[in-house]
Amino acid sequence: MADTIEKISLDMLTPTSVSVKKQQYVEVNGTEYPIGDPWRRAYVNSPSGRQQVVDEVAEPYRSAIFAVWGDEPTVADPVGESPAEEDAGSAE
Amino acid sequence: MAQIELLQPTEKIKDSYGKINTSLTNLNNELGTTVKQSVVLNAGTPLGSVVTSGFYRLAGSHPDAPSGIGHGVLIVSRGADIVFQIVTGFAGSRFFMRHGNPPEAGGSGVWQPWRELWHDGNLPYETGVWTPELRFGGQNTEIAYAFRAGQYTRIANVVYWTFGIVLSSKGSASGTATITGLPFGKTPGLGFDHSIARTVNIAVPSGQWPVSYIEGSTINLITNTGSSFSSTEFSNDSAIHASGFYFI
Repeated sequence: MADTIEKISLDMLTPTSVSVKKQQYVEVNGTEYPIGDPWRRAYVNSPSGRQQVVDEVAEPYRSAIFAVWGDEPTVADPVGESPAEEDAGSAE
Repeated sequence: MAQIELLQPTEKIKDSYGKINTSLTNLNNELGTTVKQSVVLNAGTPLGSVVTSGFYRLAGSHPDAPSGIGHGVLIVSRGADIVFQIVTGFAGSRFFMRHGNPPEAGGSGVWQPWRELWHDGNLPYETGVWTPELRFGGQNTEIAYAFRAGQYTRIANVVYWTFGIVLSSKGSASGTATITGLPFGKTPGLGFDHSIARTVNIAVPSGQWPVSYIEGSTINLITNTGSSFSSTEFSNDSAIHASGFYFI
């Protein structure tokens, strides 16, 4: 039985967020074919998002993310405020 | 031509019934008399004037080409007074097509507008899975699941999401309830409130109902009055099923 290979890629890496994608592949006669659905998880450059990257993203992807994100968060953590208040501010 | 040089004169090809009816040598000769190498169109040549079937190289920009298309390739297919054109630039993977029966082709009509062709390079599409993760106050301490799954479909800058979680333990964390793990970060702007399709064993004040809105990659769980849910409203066997969309 052919072994599966997991490939990780960083998509939409910006100073505010990143989407980490994992996809399984199987190699047949030297050609890699994706199997199953891709899995994704986004991280936001907030204090808690940065901690999640530290806890959950392996090297060298972690360093690649922080190379773009820098040393300080650019986004505040979710505060659970009423969306009506948030919308009123963003609609102006 | 390059494709002809690749053919092996001694090889045979078969028709759909398995009958060898044409040698590639003969096919080469036939192609050699009917398929021409591309014709170079000088910069400034109106593409509407090119109505002879064939392959054309655009040497520069052309006044009636789609915006941003130049130094590319034009393919023309003409049948009597009806002409079809497809054109692409040399970079960016943008393709445009148009058709018409203009006077240049002997017709009495006009060129229809250029239409851009969409593909997975300029209209990203992806369907996949994500892992919803309940947190209280940003923590997931000892939260355990009997079931959890999430799916998404991204089309261009819109992400459609759905998830379901069934707890086997709500753990020991406290604070406001959120679901993390969305597949893409949401762009700043409106919160995109969604009704939560179904909740089980989550205390909701009388006359209110649960909704959600997205912040970054987090789904905030609140009631329709804007009050947050916290761990105290959850039980060890609570369940949530919801879906929605947001822009990225």
